[in-house]
Amino acid sequence: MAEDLTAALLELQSTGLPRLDDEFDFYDEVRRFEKSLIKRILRVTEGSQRKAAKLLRMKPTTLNSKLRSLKLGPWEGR
Amino acid sequence: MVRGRADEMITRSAQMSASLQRSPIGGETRKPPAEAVVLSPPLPLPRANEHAKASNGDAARNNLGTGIEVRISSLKVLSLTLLAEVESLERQAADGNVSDDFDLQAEVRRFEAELIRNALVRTGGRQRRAARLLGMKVTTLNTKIRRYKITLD
Repeated sequence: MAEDLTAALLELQSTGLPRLDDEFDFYDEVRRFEKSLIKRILRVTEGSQRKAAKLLRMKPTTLNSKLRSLKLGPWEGR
Repeated sequence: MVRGRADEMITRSAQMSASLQRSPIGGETRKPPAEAVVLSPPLPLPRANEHAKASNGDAARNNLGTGIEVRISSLKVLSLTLLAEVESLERQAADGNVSDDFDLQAEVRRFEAELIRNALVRTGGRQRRAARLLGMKVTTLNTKIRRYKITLD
């Protein structure tokens, strides 16, 4: 329960627009945003990359290499 | 940065728990699916509200722990609401609402444009400063501004 909650809160925070402070990095933020979207999709598809790729209209291999480059585990839904 | 967010969350949660007493969030428009029931019942939502109210009373004012207790209970209320909201959105998404027109590239582009516009507003449209703020090259920023057709106002 508490873990679900933390994850939900973190996700909620990451969807808001980040603050433009000294540590701000455009590319980091964009990567983080993309990561959170893909995570959300994977949660919907219960970890199936094949289904997620279909939803995202990309090849499963493309999604898989994206997951690698974003350093997302094979199944980080929850 | 993280700390500021946490404080913001707490303030918002206090407001939220107050508004929660008036109307449940998302309660009217759609009927919660049957599985949603599993989430909420064992947790004392109304009791958390009562608790927060009681802590505002005279008796509780002497208690040094009061502020923390109020924060805890309003955070509890907020958390439960958020969790329920997340669950129901996930269910909606699983039902196929999200799936039909989800375009990752488009979402990322929209996010980038939003960040850039935000920075430009901050710098009054000065691209050199905005680029420094964003941590990107001016040329890249300029390209993106033109590609996304970003304008102030």
